[in-house]
Amino acid sequence: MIAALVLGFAFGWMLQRGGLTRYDVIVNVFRLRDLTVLRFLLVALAIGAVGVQAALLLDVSSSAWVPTTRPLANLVGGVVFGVGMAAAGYCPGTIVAQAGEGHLDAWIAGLTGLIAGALVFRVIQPFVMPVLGPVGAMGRVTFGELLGVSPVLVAVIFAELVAIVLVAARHR
Amino acid sequence: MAWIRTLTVCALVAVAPLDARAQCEAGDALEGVEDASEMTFEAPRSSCADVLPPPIALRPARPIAMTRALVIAALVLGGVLAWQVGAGRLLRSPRGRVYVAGAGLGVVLAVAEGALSRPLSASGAFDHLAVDPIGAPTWPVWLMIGVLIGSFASSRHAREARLRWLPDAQWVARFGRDRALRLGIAFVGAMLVQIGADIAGGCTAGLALSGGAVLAPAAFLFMAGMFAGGMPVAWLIYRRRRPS
Repeated sequence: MIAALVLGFAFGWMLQRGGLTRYDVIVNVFRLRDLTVLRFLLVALAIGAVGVQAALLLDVSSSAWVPTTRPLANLVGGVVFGVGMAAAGYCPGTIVAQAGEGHLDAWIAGLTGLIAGALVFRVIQPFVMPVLGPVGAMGRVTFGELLGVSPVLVAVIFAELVAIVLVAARHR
Repeated sequence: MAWIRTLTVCALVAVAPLDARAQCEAGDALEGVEDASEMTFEAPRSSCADVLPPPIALRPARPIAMTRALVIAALVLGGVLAWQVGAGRLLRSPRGRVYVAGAGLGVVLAVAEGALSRPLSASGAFDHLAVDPIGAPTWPVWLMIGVLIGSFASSRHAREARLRWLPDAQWVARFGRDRALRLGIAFVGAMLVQIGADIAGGCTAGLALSGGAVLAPAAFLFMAGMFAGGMPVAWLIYRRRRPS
């Protein structure tokens, strides 16, 4: 609980600090006019990827959390998510961060919208998930496991790719 | 890079006297170490008493470990100083702010997943709140409480915290100042975002970031879907307006 509060505090601080609580920043990444969201996301992923592998190498913990890959569900969910995100300039984490910043629309419509969305999903789940879920389901896998190479290698290569992309796009 | 120079100078200034003393005492303690004098600042091996005040009688020689701890403390202090002098400016530039915040989030991700083996999920909190709003908070609910406090603290720190109804100038330019319209679009958008996250198995935080940090295909498929859904909508919303 303390760990969750501390990590959440840092998460909220970084979201606000990076400008991810702004409507225009979120929307303009979809218009390819402002790459702030991509910069933030890619830097966080690169540092996070190397950091997770470092933590595992140092035996801080025996295993990392890995999400379930259900390609069709991931993709379709992403599309629905993207539509909502582009329309309102929201994603669940940034709604909470906006609420903390003083956005009354996030308090009144955002948080209730999220809960309403969760309720709607409970209703449509029995119809949607059996169709989308099993297609190509792979379980909790990483690229390292899929490709049969060391996860440390994948993380380092990924971090280097991110660095190259960010340097190449530094004037955009 | 001004801040690197500052860091180096601070570190050297802070460490130099400590180091001379440590080397001398190490040389005294370990008799017969040939090259101890090379490391000191022009002080011959056996002249600690000349450069340093004579040690108080009965005081034991300072252990090497403690010296090392002091050196590390000095480095940290130097880092903080450098931060205040130079890196603070980088942090305040708009681009630098994004990179530093992204790096900070990367560290948060590494701690959450590498050390605690848990995702940094946001949408999961609302799945829980939708079913059990008054029950004991779960991991993602505590996270979101933390986010709320963290964002409040950060916006206070940056003097950006204020109560407001409308997002910003770009929204007003496109949709006007109608509060009901904002609340309506915000509600529908938030609903879609949560439904999408539930179908995919996580949101930007719980899937794109948390899954991306362990390099799981799910995260990158989700991000591809996110752009496939978001770009046409953003285009539809802004298509009739000239580029601003």
